[in-house]
Amino acid sequence: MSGELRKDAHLRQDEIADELGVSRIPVREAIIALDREGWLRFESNRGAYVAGLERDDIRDHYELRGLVFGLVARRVVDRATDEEIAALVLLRRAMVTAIDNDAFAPLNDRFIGKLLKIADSPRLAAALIVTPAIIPSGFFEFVPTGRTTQEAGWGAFLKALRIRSADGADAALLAMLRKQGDAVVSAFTASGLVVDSYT
Amino acid sequence: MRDGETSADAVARFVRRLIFEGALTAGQRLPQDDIAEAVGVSRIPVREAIIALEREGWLQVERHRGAFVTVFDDQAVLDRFALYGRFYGFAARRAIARMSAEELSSLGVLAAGLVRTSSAAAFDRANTLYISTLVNFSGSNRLRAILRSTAQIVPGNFFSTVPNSIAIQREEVVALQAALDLADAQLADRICARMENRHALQVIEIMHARRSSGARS
Repeated sequence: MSGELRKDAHLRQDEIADELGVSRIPVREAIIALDREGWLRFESNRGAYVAGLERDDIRDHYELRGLVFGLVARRVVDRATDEEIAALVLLRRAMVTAIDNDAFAPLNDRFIGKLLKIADSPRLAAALIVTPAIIPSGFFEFVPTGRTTQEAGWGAFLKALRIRSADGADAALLAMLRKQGDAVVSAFTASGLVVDSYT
Repeated sequence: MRDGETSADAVARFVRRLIFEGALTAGQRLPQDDIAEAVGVSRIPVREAIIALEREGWLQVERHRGAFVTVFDDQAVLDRFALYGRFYGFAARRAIARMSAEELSSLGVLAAGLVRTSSAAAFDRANTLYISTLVNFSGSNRLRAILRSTAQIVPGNFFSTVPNSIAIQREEVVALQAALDLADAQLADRICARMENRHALQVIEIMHARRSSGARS
């Protein structure tokens, strides 16, 4: 993500193992996980290569993540108790009043954690692992509009949740993730990290 | 082991079957040594399979404690097929936006081939070809990556195992292809969701049947 590994670069497992001071087995296990997530292409006998990140990849990625979050939203509408809804509302209020990104980001993570706990679906949680947030850390620094989009998105979601509207909750989270995708594309374009799309 | 399958793939396939049939149940710790012995491999491919199975949602890994089986009930089946419905719907929507007229007509040929096929093995091949072509025409690397990480939940050939699945798939692919021809993205999306939900309901039935026969034996 720092741009040190460019598209199609060959991943040197020995060098990574040396740098981290670990054996080759955990490196191999990490490569299998990254292949599943689509960051790497693993070709047997040839090794691992860095998969590219293009404009359309980022948009697709956030759209897919939005589709998974939409299903999570539906399950939350089905299952959340009034107490759980009240706790989510409180948490969002805390997000809105957070003084800076360092205070905001963990609250946002907690909100997502609560949603997954209420949804109680290992399959949907796993689908979010294979569509991870593209930016590993410092999302809200990298994407200047990220925080407002997130606050508004959770707000629209909670409004739908209060009236138990599965369609509304689903649509709110898909819209939120689409908007984040567009903002991430802009941020990557500004930083010169993204190549032009193939369409 | 099947052609082109690694030891880790074989282990993963074995574990999925055990969970599907109820031989491994929610909360149970994965007996890694027993599984290595049963499949006839070392502990290393078992560890590799665990990573893949965790990313598919079958297991939850707790550091220093081991891998534990997650809940696999009706809702898990519904969630899993709902996800597929959305992913295929996404493929159809992107394909409508991105594919050429030639690509659309070649997909039509594959759909027609699917309708004519009736044996489960041939149907499975024809369907895999149709779906993978649709996914390719979506032009989405991210979708391809995600679909790679979500393996089949029903052990064996889906179409010979799940009752009515050939009829369902045939009907829905015909409907989907019509939506693609009309370039109606919303309709295509809805058809994919309906198709996967219909399969889910059938899968739930056979899962119940297998689990109750397993409990008797």
